[in-house]
Amino acid sequence: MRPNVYLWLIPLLLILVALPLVFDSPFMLRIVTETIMWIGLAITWDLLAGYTGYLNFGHAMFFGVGAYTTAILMKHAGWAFILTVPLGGLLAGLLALVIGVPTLRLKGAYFAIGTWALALAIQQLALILDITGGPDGMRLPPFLNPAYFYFWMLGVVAGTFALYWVLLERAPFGLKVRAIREDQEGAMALGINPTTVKVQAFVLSAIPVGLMGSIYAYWITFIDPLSALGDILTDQAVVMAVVGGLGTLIGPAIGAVIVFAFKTMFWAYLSDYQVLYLIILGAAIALTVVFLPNGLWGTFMGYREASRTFKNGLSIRPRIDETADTEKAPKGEPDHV
Amino acid sequence: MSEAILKIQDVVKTFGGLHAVNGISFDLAEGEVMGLIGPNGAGKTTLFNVISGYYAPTKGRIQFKGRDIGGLTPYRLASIGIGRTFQVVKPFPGLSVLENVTIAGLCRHPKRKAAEKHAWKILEFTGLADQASKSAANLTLAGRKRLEIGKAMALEPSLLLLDEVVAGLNPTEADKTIELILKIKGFGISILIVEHIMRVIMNISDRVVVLNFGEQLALGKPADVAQDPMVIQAYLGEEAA
Amino acid sequence: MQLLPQVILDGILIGGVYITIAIGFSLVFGVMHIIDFAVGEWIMLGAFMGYYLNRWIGLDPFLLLPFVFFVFFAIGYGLQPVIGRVLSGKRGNPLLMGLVFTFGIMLMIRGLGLTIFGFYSRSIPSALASSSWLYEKGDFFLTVPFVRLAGLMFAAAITLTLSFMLKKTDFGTGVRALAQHPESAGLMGVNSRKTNCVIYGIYVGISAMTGVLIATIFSITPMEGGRYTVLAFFIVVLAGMGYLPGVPWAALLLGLLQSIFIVYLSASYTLLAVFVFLYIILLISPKGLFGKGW
Repeated sequence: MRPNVYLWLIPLLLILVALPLVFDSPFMLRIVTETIMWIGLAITWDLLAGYTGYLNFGHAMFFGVGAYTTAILMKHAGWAFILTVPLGGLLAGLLALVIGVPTLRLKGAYFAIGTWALALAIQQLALILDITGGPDGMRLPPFLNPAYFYFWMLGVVAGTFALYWVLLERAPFGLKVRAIREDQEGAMALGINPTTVKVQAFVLSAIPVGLMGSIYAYWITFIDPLSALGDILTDQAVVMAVVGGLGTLIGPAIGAVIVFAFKTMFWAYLSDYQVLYLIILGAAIALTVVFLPNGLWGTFMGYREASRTFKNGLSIRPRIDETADTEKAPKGEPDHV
Repeated sequence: MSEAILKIQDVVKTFGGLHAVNGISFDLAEGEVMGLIGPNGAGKTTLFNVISGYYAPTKGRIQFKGRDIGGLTPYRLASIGIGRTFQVVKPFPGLSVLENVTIAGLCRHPKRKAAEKHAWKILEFTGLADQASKSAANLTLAGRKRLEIGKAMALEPSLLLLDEVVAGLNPTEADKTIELILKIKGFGISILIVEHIMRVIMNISDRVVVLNFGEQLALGKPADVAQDPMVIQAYLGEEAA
Repeated sequence: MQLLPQVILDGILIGGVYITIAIGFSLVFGVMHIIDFAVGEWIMLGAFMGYYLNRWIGLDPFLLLPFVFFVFFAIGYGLQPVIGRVLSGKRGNPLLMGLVFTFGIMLMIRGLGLTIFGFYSRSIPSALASSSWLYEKGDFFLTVPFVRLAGLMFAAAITLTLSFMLKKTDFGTGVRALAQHPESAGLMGVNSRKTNCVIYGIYVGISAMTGVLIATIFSITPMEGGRYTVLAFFIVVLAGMGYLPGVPWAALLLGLLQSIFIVYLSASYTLLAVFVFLYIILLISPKGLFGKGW
């Protein structure tokens, strides 16, 4: 990875920190907060998808876990917000740990369907249970302070970005994760336990999302199964990451900014045609997959990470190594674990 | 004769009704190079897969340095000193040559910097140092095979399983690879090598074991095995025997 | 306990509809090896076409079925080359490319549906809807609503037709060859492009007809497409991806489960149970009940 690019992020961070002090518009602040949240959602999804090669179509479940944790604890148990946030993240991580071990054994497409089914199940649970308020959702004690939530969100997302950067670019973790994505059997022969690494990636992708969910709940003051656990959360994160560029950290961030900016303008100027947004979202991802599989950022930087995800991320059958020459796969080729 | 580093005892591997490996037994002495030969489909790669942990043996025992390893995972075996190459080479195509070997180096050197230093030494050893930043997918076949060996060596193994590392190379490249294997042997690493190219096997192996249809046909010095009528029959058919 | 026979019967009848949801989906997977995320959306579109045709022309939805089939067959036939291009693209794994691409298609169709049809639900009236067949014997009685029975018969007809086509016609043999080994099939003279177009057309056509059925027996909203996609996934995973003979069994099983849950537990738990069950099946036996999936 070229370090120069990341150096640009430090002044950007300083600007972002100073933003509320310079601009006085609560509306603008809310927009930026939500943009930052989407950046967080997109890069966490990309950790599992672009780097590890697993498509989690149930990403929203971690968000919902965090959101409902905060909502339930604040509303029914009178907890202070600050205490609920770490717990939201922790529970999301725990969920990832528990379901990760069995689910990550599944091959690509089955993992996608499995996580999708699981997230839908959790959404159903939220619709049914009383403690979550059912379809009517939950109202939290109001606290109007845009700057407060802005800094919370910025802190979580910036921290996540920094953590991911260290883990993926500097620590052995990044190499191991990519090795598994490229060739799991080959990685095993080199001493890497794929399940351990995959679960680590899964948990790492879940905890920040739980934190963001917690913040979201108190920030928006209202959550329901649709807004906190809905498909649309995952779908948008997926589009953002793919359009931006899988397998990079900056790609999904850019994708998030672009898609969210587009969505906001759509909402502002074309609110009659809101459902058109879905159409355009769909078209965006369809076209990206066909013409720009590495996403905007990936293509710009000449990366080829996304191709690797697309190549390996959804295979069901054991892959025949395409880089070998004329030898065909021997009959003893082990199945994916 | 030094203590056997690898003991294969009556190993059987079945897939449904198919006996891919049907009662193989031999000992590999420490520092020995043993060739594993046999016609296509004889079960050589299956045996490798069993020894390196990708399959658990259906029956039989495998002992490495005195302890049972049947059924252990490949990554566990890598960490206790068994390295292998794959017949269909498995580079990590999206990563550079250096990164490929560094990943292997992480096994013995958990910190990335140390692993990278170690990787450089391996690249020098295998003659790939000048291609370190190239993408592994862009290597020639010879390069990829050497990378394969390099990655296995980065594990600092005591036992190296080589699966057809010479096949497909032209004579010059093949000779260089043979040199490499002999250097590895010089370190005292025990080697089990599958190869179709007879002159390679016969020249570098201390002993040879012959498989056919999963059964063990012969075991002994290369020259003796080459004269064994059953071996000749297996390779060349009835009339030649 | 009196209810049990009725519950079982209801389950079988519902299973019939589920068969048609899943059978086209499984066929397309088996031949083209794509997981079409948009299957529920095709169902939804078909339902709405049926609804509007019924309103404008006044024909009973069951009579509209062939027309709907042909329209959507044409749509599918025409769309297939685009998908084919995505799948054969030089970069990337076709299965994944296909899935993400159909994911995009799904979003587009759903948005289209919401735009054109709005948010509220519709239902198609049918002459059969008001009658049922009542079987009485003392205390024991069974109600068989005609419209659901028709749905089951429809499913049986589709299954038999497909089965006949695949096993007894030359075209069908070509399809099976294509599913097993595209290159060899091509060498044997199977026109893969045309076959794929026909198969995809059949799949879209059947899905659309299923939509009409669903709107007649129940109701439909543009947002419900996702739910049917989940059901299709569930059935096909249970049956084994691409293993057509497993579909009727899996569909009937799902119908039975749903029926039992609704009566003996609660309707709202049904969906939850379906999702959890799907997840568990994937963990235990991703190749399906018969172990013959991909």
